Amino acid sequence: MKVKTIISLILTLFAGVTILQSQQMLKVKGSDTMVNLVQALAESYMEKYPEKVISVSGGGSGTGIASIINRQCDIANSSREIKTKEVFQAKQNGLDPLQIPIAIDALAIVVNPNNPVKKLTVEEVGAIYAGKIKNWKEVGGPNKPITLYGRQPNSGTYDFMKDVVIKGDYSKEMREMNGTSQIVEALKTDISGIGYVGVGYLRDAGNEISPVEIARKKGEKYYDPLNVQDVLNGNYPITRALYQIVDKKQINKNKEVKNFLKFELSEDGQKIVEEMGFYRLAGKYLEMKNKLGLGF
Amino acid sequence: MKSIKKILIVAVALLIISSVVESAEITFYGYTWMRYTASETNKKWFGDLKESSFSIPRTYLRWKIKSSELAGNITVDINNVKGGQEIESGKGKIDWAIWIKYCYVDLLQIIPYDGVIRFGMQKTYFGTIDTWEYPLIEKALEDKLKLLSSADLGFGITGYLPDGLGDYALAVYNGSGYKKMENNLNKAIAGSISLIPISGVSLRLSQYISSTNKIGVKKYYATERTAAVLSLSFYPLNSFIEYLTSVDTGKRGLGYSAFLSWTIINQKLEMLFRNDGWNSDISKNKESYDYTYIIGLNYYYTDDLLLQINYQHENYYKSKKADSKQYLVQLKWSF
Repeated sequence: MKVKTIISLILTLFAGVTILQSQQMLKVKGSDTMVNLVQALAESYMEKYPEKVISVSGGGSGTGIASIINRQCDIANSSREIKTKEVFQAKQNGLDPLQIPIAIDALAIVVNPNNPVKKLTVEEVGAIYAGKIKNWKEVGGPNKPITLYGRQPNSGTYDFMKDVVIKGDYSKEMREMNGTSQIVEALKTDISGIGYVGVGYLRDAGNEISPVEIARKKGEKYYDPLNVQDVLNGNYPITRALYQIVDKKQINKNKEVKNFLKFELSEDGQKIVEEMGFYRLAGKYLEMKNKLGLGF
Repeated sequence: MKSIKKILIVAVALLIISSVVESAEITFYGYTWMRYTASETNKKWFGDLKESSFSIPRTYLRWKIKSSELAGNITVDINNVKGGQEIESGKGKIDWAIWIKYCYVDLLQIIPYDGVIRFGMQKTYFGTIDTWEYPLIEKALEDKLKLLSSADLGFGITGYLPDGLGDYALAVYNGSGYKKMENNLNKAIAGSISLIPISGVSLRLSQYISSTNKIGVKKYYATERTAAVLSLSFYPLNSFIEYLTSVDTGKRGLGYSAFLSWTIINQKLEMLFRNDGWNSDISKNKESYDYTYIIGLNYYYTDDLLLQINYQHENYYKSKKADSKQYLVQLKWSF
């Protein structure tokens, strides 16, 4: 009798805890680049459905992916693709990770508006951040040492610059800032500075920082990150997709996850993406999303 | 004195690495385990205590170094276990010891799918010894039985299968572990492969072969370890069962370790169970198993502070010793 009572108590506790956990709010965590965008999407969604609660927080893409693997959040924001190692860890933990592109981002290289350098190649930007080019005069600017501003290593933007532009290690002289807004603030007053930010942040920064036009190589055409068409058709060289990583099983099991994703990818959601200074899904990233067979 | 020398060596190594590897990211962190142990050997609850002690059995200090092509890990293990370190073979034991637990460098970007080539003192890729993250205070079964060392000096290749469908590891080691110098012309080999046919279900097969032919000693010992681990992870339940065998010059050991954890509140509270059975020589007596039963409760006070409460019961069938019972309370502090 005693054993039966204990077993029933454990089972009741088990069921109760499971129900309680399933009723919690939707948690979205990860990329700092995506925080403002997903926050705006969440606010619009909550306006439409006032009974829903979504919390959005940053910490970096790696942190977000680790959180979803450890079931600390429902959706991970990531400004880079998920790594094989992370897919393995997720599967081992019983998750079926699905990477859904929700927007396109162009990374803008920015300087102080009083800096006369307005054009750079990807190679030059890479050499500047690797510490091989140390003075603005080496790229047609004034005789002033270059001050490097970048992100902290747990940021997806940090990895994106490292992998796509620098193709090696950052200079140890680079100042690691705790967020894009700190880079923008630093560049407003530092005429010798250079930084990188998602194009979404250019709008908020107004005329206090200016983006540099970028060419793939010397002798090729330079493109402006603020030109939508050049970004969408892939002319502007520093572009990437912004992803959300979810447990595939949760899309069918947890309708909160499914409905929010559906909203983000809807016409209304994609309008917010544009309003926030990013680009709506198009080209290869739209194809990638369609191939996932989400049904929305 | 030896310990001070080791710390100095690590400090100098770190300085050299940080100056050579320009722009490498260096992170430093550590863990310390603070424990209370009460143990008894008779059947009464707290009736006849054999031990009642507070201890700090282990502290890890870890430096991780990463650049785009290289990564490294130096972990200093400060150990305070009764008789934990042999001064010199046959010359007695001391309680305090400092070891270099891990000291390796990884070559990145050579092997696809996040694979690495690793040189140095590294984990022994076998069974559950390299994956056990101490959800319970007790060590992994093969570690507890001292069937092999959890870390060893050598060369290894580790990586993942496409789409994260599994992982693999292959390494050649000294075979002496991380506490002793090598005095052996033959090397040990460990290989493991795991497969995830469906999310939440993984199967790992491991093999470890070692032979000793000590310099100046004619006697030859061959050892072999085999493990198969089936893991099931269906939230909030997480479990594995490990089948383990050992061969030591004719002696054949056989056993298992079964583990279950139940997450009651995610990242806050979990309940854990483990049952091990081990027969050190199945050729002598097929039913002569020693059993261990553990029940535990983990409470994450914060992400950095974990409180573990374990009750552990050892039932020595084989040696006909009295049962041993341990009550353990431990704080694991990450800093």
